[in-house]
Amino acid sequence: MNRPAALEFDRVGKRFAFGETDVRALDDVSLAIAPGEFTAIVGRSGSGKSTLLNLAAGIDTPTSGEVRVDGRALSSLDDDALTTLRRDRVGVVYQFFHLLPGLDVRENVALPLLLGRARRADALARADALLAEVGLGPRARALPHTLSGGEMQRAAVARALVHEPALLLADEPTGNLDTRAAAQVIELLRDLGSRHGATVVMVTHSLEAAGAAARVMEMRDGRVVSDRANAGARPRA
Amino acid sequence: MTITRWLALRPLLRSPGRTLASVLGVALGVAVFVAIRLASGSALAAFSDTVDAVTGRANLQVVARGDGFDETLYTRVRAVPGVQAAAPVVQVTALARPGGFRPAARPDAAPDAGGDTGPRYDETLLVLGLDAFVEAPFFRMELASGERGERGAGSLSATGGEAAAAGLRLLAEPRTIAITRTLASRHGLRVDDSLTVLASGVPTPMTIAAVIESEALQQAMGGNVVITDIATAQEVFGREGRLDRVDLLVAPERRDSVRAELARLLPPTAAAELPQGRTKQVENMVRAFALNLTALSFIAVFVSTFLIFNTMAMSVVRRRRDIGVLRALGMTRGAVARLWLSEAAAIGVLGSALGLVLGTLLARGALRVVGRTLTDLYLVQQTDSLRLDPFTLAVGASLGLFATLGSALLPALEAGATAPGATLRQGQRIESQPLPLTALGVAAAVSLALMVASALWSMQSHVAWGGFAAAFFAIVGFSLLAPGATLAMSSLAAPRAGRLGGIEAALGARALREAVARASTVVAALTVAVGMLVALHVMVGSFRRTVDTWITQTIKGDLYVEPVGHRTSGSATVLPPDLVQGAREIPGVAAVDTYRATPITMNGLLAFAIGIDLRVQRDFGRLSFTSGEDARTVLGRALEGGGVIVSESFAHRHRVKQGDVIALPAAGGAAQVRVEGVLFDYSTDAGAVLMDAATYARLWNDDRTESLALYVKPGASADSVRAAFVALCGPERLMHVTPNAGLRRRVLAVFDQTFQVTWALQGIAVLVAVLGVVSTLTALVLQRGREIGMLRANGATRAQVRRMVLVESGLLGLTGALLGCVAGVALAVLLVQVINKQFFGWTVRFQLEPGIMLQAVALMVVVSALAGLFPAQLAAGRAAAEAMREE
Repeated sequence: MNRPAALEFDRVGKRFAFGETDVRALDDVSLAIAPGEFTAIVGRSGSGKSTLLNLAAGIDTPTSGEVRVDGRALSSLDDDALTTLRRDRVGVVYQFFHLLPGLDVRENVALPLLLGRARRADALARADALLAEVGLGPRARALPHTLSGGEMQRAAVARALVHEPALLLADEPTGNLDTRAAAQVIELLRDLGSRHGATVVMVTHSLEAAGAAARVMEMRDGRVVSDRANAGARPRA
Repeated sequence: MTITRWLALRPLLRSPGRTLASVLGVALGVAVFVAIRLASGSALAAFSDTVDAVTGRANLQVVARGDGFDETLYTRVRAVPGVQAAAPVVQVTALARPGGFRPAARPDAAPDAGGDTGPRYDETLLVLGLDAFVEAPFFRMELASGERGERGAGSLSATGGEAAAAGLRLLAEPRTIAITRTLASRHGLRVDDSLTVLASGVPTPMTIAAVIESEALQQAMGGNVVITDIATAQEVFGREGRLDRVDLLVAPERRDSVRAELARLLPPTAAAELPQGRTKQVENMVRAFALNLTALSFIAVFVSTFLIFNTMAMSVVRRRRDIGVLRALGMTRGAVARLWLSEAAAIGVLGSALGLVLGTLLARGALRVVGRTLTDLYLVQQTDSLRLDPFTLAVGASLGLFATLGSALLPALEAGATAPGATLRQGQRIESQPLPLTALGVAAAVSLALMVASALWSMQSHVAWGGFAAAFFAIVGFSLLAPGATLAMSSLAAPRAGRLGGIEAALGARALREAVARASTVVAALTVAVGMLVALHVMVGSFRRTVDTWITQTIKGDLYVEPVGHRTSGSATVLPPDLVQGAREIPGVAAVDTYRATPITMNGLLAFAIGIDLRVQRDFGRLSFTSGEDARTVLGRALEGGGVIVSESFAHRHRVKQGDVIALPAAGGAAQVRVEGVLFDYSTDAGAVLMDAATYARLWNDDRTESLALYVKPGASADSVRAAFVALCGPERLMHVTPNAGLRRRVLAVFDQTFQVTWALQGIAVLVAVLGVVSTLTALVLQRGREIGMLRANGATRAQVRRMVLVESGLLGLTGALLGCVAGVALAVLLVQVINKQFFGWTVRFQLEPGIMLQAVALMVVVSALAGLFPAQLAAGRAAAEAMREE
């Protein structure tokens, strides 16, 4: 039996109403991303990339069509089940890191486990391990505002992976970083994603970032206009 | 103006909930202030109007010092050069009911007007005994004969002839009265109907002979004025040969000389006064009561300033990026600050306007309660007509506006001081600057030191407002401790909350630290509200227990006897000597104490001279003295030397101590008497001078009795004595015969009633503080949208987010309540030992009840958590994607 796609969009549409204007953010999008794949979705601002990612994470619902994660239709899940799915199967990295300012770095990383009622000591040990992997071991007890942008994003990547998600979603993860830090984060996503067996879907408008992905989809006006394998991508570890 | 409209007023409309909370906060503060001022002002104004109405056109009066003066004085006063007209007046307040009197079938069924049996005497009337022959210049006896047999006031119009005929009828027919149109129409009374008044407990039917046309008298005491012939009044109320007043018309330019001549002529029982004199006296008497309520009403205003401060400060934080844009576009610092002040001014204007409306509505309720208290404590008659004093309304509106502008000043200045570059960067932390904790701590310490200094100064120098200053410094000082307390609570609670309630509870606890400036403002508001709540509870509780102990220990009579209406008519109540003697002869009665009192004026202040049987008190009573001396010793001394004992509040007001000799303004002239002891007494804050009945009779030429206390022999039954006494009174005299326990209940009921307004005021202050919790948490939740979105994206359930906000709001309540309890104890000490002592002169035994504090803490945690429900729901319900889109 074939394994289901890690992420599947089946004729998905999403509209937003802004006052009297109806904006079509996604228009009849269908795609399937196989388990373990590292896919980049590129496109200009407003092309629908982030909407696609939010729908994939189940934090937004489509106006039409169906989104499936690991073969499970998200429309069939209630809010609690969606939350559980996110907690167990999905990790998200944002452009602005979104680390909680009052928690130190390891606590931030352990957060998804703690929200899932993991034992505190286990969660923190796991966070420490991941922080060591992303090279932030020595900064584990630091507060987020003392970190550089690159460090904060590495911490955010560690947080997204702490619960071993099957699907790692990254929304412009390098948008707020300098070139060197951006390269480090892309490396992390690629290598760590692979090492932890996660399917990585990364939204970006950076061609350098997209260059690291094995598959690149381009979006324009809410549609996927191209979908190609990236021959130049370095194989994942 | 356009920019102001765009940038200052539109944001208010865009966040209607938050705007409403702020407007409501200001409105409640203003409303409480306005309600209390309007209510106490109306009560006093009604009193002053009544005084004016019954004075007529008199511009000088000879008034009795005590219980009336000899009527022969009238002819001598009239003859003083410069007096153009003089009218003698007998004035009594009495209970009455429409209709005639039918004795109850069983004698013991009648004697309680307030009970369930017998007819109720619900109307309090001002009875004016006037002399129709000399009344013309005073325009009080504008009477109409009315039309017999026709109901309603419409038919009661007067012609000159009718008026004269009506006046004549009062003179010619015994026991006839004229009543106001207002009273007539209220009860559908017509001429020839009866109205029964209680004179020393004796129901006395009076026939309505005429209707009073004078407009002023329709308003006085709500129209409850009746006029009768002076001789009738004297006869019915047992005031034969006595007058209460002579009203005078003198040429204005000669008023001073007439006054001087009268001062020479008048005996000590009478004095020449301007008609406003009595109003002034009553104002002085109720001033302390009104001032305390006003001070309390400021608490709600104070609490609402925290709410406004928070709203404006959060508006600055939320729109810091807008400010950056405006500054980058060339808006000056001043203009930015003015924008925020305009926003505050809009809230202030709306809040004040709403506050005036609410305040006027609340005032009607407050008037009923305040009026009842003034009647109980100071014998000022009640009114239900609310006077919308423009000055009070203007002060209330200004208070709302300036409190709002004042509390918005700091945020406005902060907005103006924002550098354009700083605000345009992304990812700003919620607070722009860390709180200056050290400076706040020092300021708190200074404020609390000033509290102690003001309190000590007030106690030493007897300056009453020093206590209020101390309370103000206490409130400010403890408010300044709020940021430190909030941080401490966050640090203490976070690890424990995490262990007990999971990561969301820990996050809720930590959120306090993240938003400490905003959170601590709410904590400060809660601290003040809870502080006052605890302080009032402790003060009222201590006071109540002190009074209860005092009654239980010192009031030892088994039965207390007074005619129904005694509390209304006061010293115009007299018991027949044979009834007093009869009481002594009832089998089982060990002793009878008599009571006679008269109001006196000393050092411009009202007090009461009271005659009691000191021998009975010595042998049967158990009065308690501040010196700690045994009552037998003190009373024995007073009996031997003809000295007096004074109440604690008298001693305080007149700076008198044991062993001093004071000059009592007695009927026969100033009497030098020695103060033999200072008595614990909580019956009146006006102050009382007690002496033996014989001394009283000698000094005031008055050996009558108005009420009794009966001591029952050991083994005898108080119930049988009561039954025997009621039988002795017969069905024609209505008496309250109250057992000891009943008296205690009544005193405590009056006590509890006095503090009703206090609790209402306090409730509103707590409500405003809770509004602050709702409004601030809502704003914080909206501000933390991204954070909450991130939590949801990382697997937090809605329930977890909800719990996080509820833990945060509960901890806000807990911090405010704990700090409030500490503040409350300090404020309670100030209320009991300083403010109460300086204003009323009572010793109240301070008693701390930990139960009250536990209740306050539990209440505030629950109420705050409830207040957090809406923000919690808002946070949980926000779609994570929407929160993240706010990027």
